[in-house]
Amino acid sequence: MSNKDLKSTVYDRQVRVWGANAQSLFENSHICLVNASASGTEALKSLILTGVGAFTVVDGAVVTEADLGKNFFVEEADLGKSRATSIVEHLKVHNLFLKPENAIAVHEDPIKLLKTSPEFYSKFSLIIVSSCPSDILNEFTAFCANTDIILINVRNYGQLGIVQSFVKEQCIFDSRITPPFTDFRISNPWKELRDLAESLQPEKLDASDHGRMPWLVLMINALDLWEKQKGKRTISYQERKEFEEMTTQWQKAEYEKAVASHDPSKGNLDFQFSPPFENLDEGMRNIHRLAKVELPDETTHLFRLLEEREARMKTVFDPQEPELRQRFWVLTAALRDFVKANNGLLPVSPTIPDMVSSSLFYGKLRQTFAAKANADAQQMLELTSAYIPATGTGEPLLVMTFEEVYNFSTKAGMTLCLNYAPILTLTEKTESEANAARHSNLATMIGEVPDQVMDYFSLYEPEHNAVWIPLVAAADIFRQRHNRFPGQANSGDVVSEAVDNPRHAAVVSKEDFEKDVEDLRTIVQELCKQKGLSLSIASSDLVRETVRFAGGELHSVSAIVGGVVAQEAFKLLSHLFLPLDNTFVYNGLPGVVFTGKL
Amino acid sequence: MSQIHIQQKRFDPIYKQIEHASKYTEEADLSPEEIKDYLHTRKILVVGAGGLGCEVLKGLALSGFSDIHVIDLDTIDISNLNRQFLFTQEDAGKTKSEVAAAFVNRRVKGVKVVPYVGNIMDQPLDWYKTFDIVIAGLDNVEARRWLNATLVNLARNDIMIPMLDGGSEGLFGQARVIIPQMTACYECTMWTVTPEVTFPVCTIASNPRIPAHCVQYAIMHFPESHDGRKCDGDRDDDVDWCLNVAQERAKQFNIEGVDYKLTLGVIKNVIPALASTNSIIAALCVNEALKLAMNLTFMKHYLRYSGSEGINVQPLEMEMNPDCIVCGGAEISLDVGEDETLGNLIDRLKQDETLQLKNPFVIFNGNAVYNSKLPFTEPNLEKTCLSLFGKHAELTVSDKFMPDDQFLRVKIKVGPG
Repeated sequence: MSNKDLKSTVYDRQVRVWGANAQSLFENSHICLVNASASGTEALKSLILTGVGAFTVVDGAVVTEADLGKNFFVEEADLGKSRATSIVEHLKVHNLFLKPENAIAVHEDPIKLLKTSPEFYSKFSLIIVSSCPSDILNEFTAFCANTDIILINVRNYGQLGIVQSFVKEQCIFDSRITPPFTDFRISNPWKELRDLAESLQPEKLDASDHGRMPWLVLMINALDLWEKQKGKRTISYQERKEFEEMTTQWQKAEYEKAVASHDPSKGNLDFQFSPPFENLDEGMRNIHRLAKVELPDETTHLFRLLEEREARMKTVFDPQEPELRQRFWVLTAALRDFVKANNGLLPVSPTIPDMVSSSLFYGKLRQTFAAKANADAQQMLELTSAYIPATGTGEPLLVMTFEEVYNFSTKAGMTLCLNYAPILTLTEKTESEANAARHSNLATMIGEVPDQVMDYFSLYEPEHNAVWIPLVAAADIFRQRHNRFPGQANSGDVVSEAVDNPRHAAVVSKEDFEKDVEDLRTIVQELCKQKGLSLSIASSDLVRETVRFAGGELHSVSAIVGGVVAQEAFKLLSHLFLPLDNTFVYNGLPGVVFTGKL
Repeated sequence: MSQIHIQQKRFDPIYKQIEHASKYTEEADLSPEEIKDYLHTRKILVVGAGGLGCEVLKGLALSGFSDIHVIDLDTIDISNLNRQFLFTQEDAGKTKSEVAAAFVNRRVKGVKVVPYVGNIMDQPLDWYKTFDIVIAGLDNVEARRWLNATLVNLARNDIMIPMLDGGSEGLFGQARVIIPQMTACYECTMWTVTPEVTFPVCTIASNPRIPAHCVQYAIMHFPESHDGRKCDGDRDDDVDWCLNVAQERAKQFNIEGVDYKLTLGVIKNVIPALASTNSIIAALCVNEALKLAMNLTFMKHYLRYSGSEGINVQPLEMEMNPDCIVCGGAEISLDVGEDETLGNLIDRLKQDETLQLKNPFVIFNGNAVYNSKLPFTEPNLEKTCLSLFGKHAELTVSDKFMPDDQFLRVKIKVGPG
């Protein structure tokens, strides 16, 4: 097997999901993991299996017994050695195609590194920060906002798993929303589609062809008939029955006429095959597609962002930006001009679903769509040139290929752009006004915590799980004050440099445990008061649960959030699918999940 | 350092949850030390050593379980390597369960993974009885149904083994906890399973429109030129033959897009699979196993994860179906027309969405009335139910996914039209 064949076989099962383009964009990324915690390592493991081209692990800790209990990519022989080095050695074998120089271990304190030489971090496409308390997370968020690097925070705290994402501006070339945006242009067919429909009107068909007409063509013709009778091209919900009746009668009458004048030399008619035909059923199932398709809200929003950008920068093209984003905005500007020039219509997509019909008719329909999609993409390509400045010698600064424009224009209803808010943290510091608004949103989600916490985490109010954000933040504050997490032993014998390493191996007495519960309760109370969150959080049993977690990572929960991070990292790096915006919380006690914008 | 001390260090985060009581602890009279022992000594069966299986084995080994067993009949293929991280390129062709077990045993000290190579349906009931928890990482509905029915059967004999079931496809996955006879079983919620999509024969034979139709045409005609043998997606020659025929057909009908990848996908019914999704789903199952073993409350709903549009996690409440053919009363009543044939009746049973029978066989008064493996029963399909069973009768119906001593009772009443 050649190396190329080997590669396409290894990645076959995933390329079927996202295609070769997304795979290659991803392979050209360099991912950095800050702290080789269990959750961070699990995330990186999945990304390496998926084929990331380069990765760096920054971690100043050494491998301890606690790591052996939760991290699969260390073994006994690694005890006492650099955790970054051990993890990189064990992980790199899981990508057959990785160049050895692209698996990098940095045995240094990642936070010190950020403070002393931040430029170290500027080369990465994405940084995964794991097991970091709020104040450090804030520093990484600020750094990534300045340098335009994607940031994902992952935290495993006992039965809790938290994932938060931040990107200054995420351009998505194909959101892959379901159902996908589609406009078959039934209500307003372009010339060639109208010509095709006219050539296939029921009165022109051989009897044997009536049932083999694609519903899409049948409906264009039926809508024309409706317009003749009603003087309008719209069908209200109440009129649907009437429309169906009209089409059935028409199809039946024309079929019977065709049977009467059927030329037997063209073959025998199968009389088991008579109206009502399946194509009408299919057409009625798609009746909502007969209405004029409006420009999707996402596209309108995208054009508004483009206007803001032009007002701010006085140009569409910015040579300082990452190339992919340059291309995105040039294409978006061309799309806006296309929509203006085409009465508010988006370029046509060549994709039509399979439908009951003969190979011949379906083939004609498919070719009509394919030809139009090509022509629209060609027009788009021409429109891009207005936005690409030339160099001194007259060469364009950006070369657009037809294929690239085609990929964009055929997905036009599914391109969008997301701007993320900085990762929400809760620290003891006084907050800015913007953050205060976000805290009040958080307060609404959390509401009041009742005495019966089991009922609080119902399936129907997942947003209640946002309550763990302030609780874990309070545990971080506890740790700053006591140099250990609540619930950890006071006289632990192992203190590692790494922030996520709990003090181990001592049973905490009932008295000490209860004291931690009360101390944490006080902190939660202060925090809730300061941020305007319900004080019921502090008086609830959730404080005790937080102390039970004792700041430790469980491999199982780490692997859950690690997988979530890997999915999200792929989506963000490939600019495909809708990424999480911006918070995911897994609460393992009842097994429920919150996702939403904080 | 003593073994106990090492264990305390390694499993500290787990122990901390055992040592202090929670609102989420189920009622039990066990001391923390007893619960720790209980966790370390549970005997767990992992069904499938594929994408989910590899993740599950890793997860169990790092969650305090040490008596782990894994069964799989498959061998390692290069296309597994994007997610089945316990295998390397050199392992291609070796059996999955053995290589996976050896890797985990090498990596995690104090854990013993025992591999079995074979089909789950060939293992005796006595073997299943010995496990405390079963985790299934299967890729097909048939095997899940069989395993579920087997465990429900054991529960009826007071051997209660929880089954944690995971499934994944692309960016989607699901996980659930089945406590036989206590919570909804797999069969209770068959309505959540989408039946396979099949193309009408006339489309394949005379009106192909999309590339998959052309490949189906090749698959359909494959046996004619191969001594009646069906096409096998694991044989390169077979795939090449189909690719050729399909491309020829595509050319004839002016269809674009028939290539090797698509052809293989249709022949093998390839399910797209990602490392990340397997990690999420397998770990959800492992966490439930850990909670069960720690005496914590378990996940009471069916969790579906979708990562394609943001993250969408849909919890489905599951209710036991009193008429479930596996764990319920397993009895249904049908009105049958006077001229309805046995063939019609069997078709009706197959089309029932809650039953989803594949290839049912029918027994009446202890005799086989229809079984596709018994040619002499074939003529009965044309006979009327009235002539075969009389006006009122109770039939016993089973299917290959149901264990030998489990049946569905179908009461029929023959009446006009």
